Amino acid sequence: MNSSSSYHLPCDLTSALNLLSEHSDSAKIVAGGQSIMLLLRQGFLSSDIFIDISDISELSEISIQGGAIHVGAATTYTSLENSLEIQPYSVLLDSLHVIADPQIRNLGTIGGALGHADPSLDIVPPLLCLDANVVVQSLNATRAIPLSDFHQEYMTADLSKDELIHSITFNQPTGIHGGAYEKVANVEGGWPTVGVAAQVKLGENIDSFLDVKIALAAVGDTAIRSYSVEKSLIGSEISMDSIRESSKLVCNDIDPLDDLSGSAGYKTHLAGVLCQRALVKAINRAGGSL
Amino acid sequence: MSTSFNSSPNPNDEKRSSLDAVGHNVVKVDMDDKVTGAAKYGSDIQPDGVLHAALLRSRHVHAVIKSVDTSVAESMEGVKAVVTRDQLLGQFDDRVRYYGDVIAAVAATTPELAIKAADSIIPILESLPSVHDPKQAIRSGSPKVHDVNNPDFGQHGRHEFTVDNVEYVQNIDDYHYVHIGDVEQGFLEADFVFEHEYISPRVNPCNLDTHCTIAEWDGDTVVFTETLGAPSRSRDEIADLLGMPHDKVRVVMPPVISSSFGARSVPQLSFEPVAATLSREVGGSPIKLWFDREEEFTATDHRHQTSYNIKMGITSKGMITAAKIDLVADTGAYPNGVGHIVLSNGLSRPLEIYKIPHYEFEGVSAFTNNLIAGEFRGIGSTQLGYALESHMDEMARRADIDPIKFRLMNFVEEGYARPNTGRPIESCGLIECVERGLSTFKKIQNGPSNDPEKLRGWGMAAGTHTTGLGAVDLDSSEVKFILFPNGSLVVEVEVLDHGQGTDTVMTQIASEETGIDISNIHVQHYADTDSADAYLGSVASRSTYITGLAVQDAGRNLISTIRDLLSPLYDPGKIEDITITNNTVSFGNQSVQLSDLFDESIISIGFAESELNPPAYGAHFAEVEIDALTGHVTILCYVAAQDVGFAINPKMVEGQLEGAISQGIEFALRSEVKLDRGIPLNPNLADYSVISAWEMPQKLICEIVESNEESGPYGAKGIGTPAMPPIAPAIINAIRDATGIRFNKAPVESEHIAMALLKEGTNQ
Repeated sequence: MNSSSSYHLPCDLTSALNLLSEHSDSAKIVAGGQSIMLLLRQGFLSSDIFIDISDISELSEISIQGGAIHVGAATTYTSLENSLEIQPYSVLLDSLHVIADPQIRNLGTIGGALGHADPSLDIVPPLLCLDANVVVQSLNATRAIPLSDFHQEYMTADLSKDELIHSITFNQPTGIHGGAYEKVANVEGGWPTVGVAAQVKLGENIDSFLDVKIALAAVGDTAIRSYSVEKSLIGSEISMDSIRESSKLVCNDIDPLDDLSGSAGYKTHLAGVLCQRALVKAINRAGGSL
Repeated sequence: MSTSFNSSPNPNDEKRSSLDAVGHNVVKVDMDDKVTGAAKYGSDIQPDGVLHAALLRSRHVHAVIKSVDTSVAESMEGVKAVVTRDQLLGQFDDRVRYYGDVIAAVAATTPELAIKAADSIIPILESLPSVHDPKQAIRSGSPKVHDVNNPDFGQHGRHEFTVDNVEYVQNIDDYHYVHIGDVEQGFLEADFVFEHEYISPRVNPCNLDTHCTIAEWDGDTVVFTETLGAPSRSRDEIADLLGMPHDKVRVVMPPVISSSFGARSVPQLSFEPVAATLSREVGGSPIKLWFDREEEFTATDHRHQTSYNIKMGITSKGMITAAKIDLVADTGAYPNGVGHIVLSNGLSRPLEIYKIPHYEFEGVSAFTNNLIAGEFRGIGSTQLGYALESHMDEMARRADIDPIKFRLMNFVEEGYARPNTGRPIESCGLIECVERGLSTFKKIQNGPSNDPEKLRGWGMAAGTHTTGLGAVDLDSSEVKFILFPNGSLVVEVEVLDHGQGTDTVMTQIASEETGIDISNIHVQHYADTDSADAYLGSVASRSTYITGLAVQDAGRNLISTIRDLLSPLYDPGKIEDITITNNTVSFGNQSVQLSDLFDESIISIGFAESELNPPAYGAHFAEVEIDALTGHVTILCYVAAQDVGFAINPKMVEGQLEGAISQGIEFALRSEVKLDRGIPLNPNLADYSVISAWEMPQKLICEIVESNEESGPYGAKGIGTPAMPPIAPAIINAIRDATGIRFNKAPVESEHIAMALLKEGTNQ
């Protein structure tokens, strides 16, 4: 932030959208500041106008409407973690427990994360497994975009300059289901070297997969679904062998890079290991056994 | 975490019960201000009219400065001074030698404006070939960082040396060599010889409060307000660096001392000289230069990265016959006297822990175009401890000897004459450390896991570091007591409380000697290098040992002064057991008001000196559990058995051990400033891993061993630095036990373990 920047803290959504419309070329939305402050400090970003949406109560609401959960963009990780509505979603809860540390979870928001579009965010793979939609709003329009389309490429979200993220929605899973998120990081609360989310829906006899969703963090330009693993499991019987063999297919869908958190080879190895572990945990939570 | 103290019978129980203030868990006297945020550190100081400094730093690792265009910066309103490298006071030529070297600096009315102005400066640099491998740097044909060996930058410890190795010709910061006995003969006498290399990481202490100085001129004297652990030694170094007489530099301590871990033990090249030059440019007004986190990583010191090659011979029974140690340390781009300490500690430590009949050591600290290395907790001893104890462990395993028995049969003992100096080892609690540590460890150890994906193992390491600097240079300390009629006592000391607790320790000793209640004693640091010659300050784990003795002396002198005041008034035969309670002196069965003895105050001086530097020892035990598929290491159990001579404050000894263990875990498993041809890849706390309570051992027990060091106060010796050396090797030896693989480059990251296990087929 430079000395000529102005910082706005609107109390209602209309004021925020008006400000955004007026300054769409130069404004940045602040929703917790846990990512944007790092970018500002390191000089990767500068802006004249900051619009902080954390005082807009409408954007911090969590509700269930018609079988779908709506989470306001300014909802902090901590309030989401503690909300009763979210407790059945173990895939999401697992990730909320391991995002950074409590201080960051107290300030960081779900909308802030999704707007940031970093492929290493722990929160994204579980939401991909839940088929989440992102609701974005401008002064004149509201649209809902599947999260899988919202993150277009590295650190790039499908968001126009006059739009902000209003909320994220996802349906309540039906049937016999379970989910889990597994992560490896250099230190507890650190960025994931690799993170894998799994959500399964099991057949009546709890011995076969009706549906499987696998999504990974930190192994590509965006968080990635592993359709290869999903396809090979859907419809098949549950067995340790099938899980082990299918998890190896994850390497077909990912494109990790060598970086500070590890080599591409290690990340590919981890993706398979964590995929298997997340699946086993998800099946156990659904009441299945191996 | 749990802690046990005196879990087995301790011969000092009787001694402890006879003491009132010393030997007990007195609560830290400076705690309230620090935990409430009331403490005012150097960076909190904001003098009226202060200007803020910012630097333009090199992004080249080695280059000649062709030109620097400062015109935009100079035209900015609010910019009060702009200086280029050639205008800086001190030894700055037209070459930058590392990423972060100073090119220009500005002073402006706000920190933001200063940064903006510094960013506007356009330098034209011409790249020079650079060198980043210290082993290459010292050999002919590599680029030269400095034109001569052993260049003089005013660094302490600089000494003349002759290099015996014909291959080491250039880029030499310092060189140490010793040959005792006949090493080749020693290897001939051995039944088993083993040689291996060990590489240690470049780690940063990550002090919460980054470097901050305020420089101003008082006539022809430059005054720096900042925490410098060895204030007077640093004053001399800064003066020599600036080319000024020592008495024209003053170093003033801020109200509360910042943490250091060694990082504030020596001045920094792009710090004090820059602030001093900018202040001079603006007529002597105060200039505040406060490093941000990236500067803390790039422009302040790291622990030297070292490469140790150790060759050792043993008999079939496990007796050491010979050791040959080669050390190459990376000094980085400029000298600061610390390379000398890394080498001398690397040379001496093996001889202070093991009996080695034939011994050869060659150590060189080399200039490279890497970041500057410097002091960090257990200088040189930490790296040597890691290398030597990894080697001892591996050697024993390969020779099929129990690693603990192997150490026990080769340990030095009290009275053993160090072969390099002839000085006998003072107190030595090594064997008790091993026995008590092992006994406690066996009680809490989990043992093997039934889960094939979880590999468990355990290991131990011993270690040592000396207390004080007596053997290097006569170490001495002077303290002053001022007693007021209301019974309050001011204790002036030269050592600084960086958080390690010296204010509390000195308060305890003063209370013990005088009877004055802890709450009536106020420790003050000599505020200024002009008011006292605090040459060494809080370095080398000397504070409790040498200054503690001086406080004891001052206490005894104060009682003696009071006795002199009482003598004319009372029967001298009845003046015994003098003690001060509130504003009253009690003796025999009588008491008298202090105000009846003197009006304003009485002063006593205490003095202590030592030619000794007793080693403090530790034996640490670790049990790890390794995720065979991810390589992640969890430390299940840890026992630190540490010989501290006598624990003046057992709780604070435990605090020192626990803090050291967290820094040892970082060294062993998690932290490293990574460089790519000299360019730091992770100079921020988002990318550089610092551990938290999560990575600490799940069970941790400190066993305090008390060997009663005769030359120390109440038998005490050091703890701060001696706690460091055993930690990383104990953990890495446990990993060896769990995996069967010797990792010889720290930090041993999860990836290294997982990929090595994959290669071996253990985790298929």
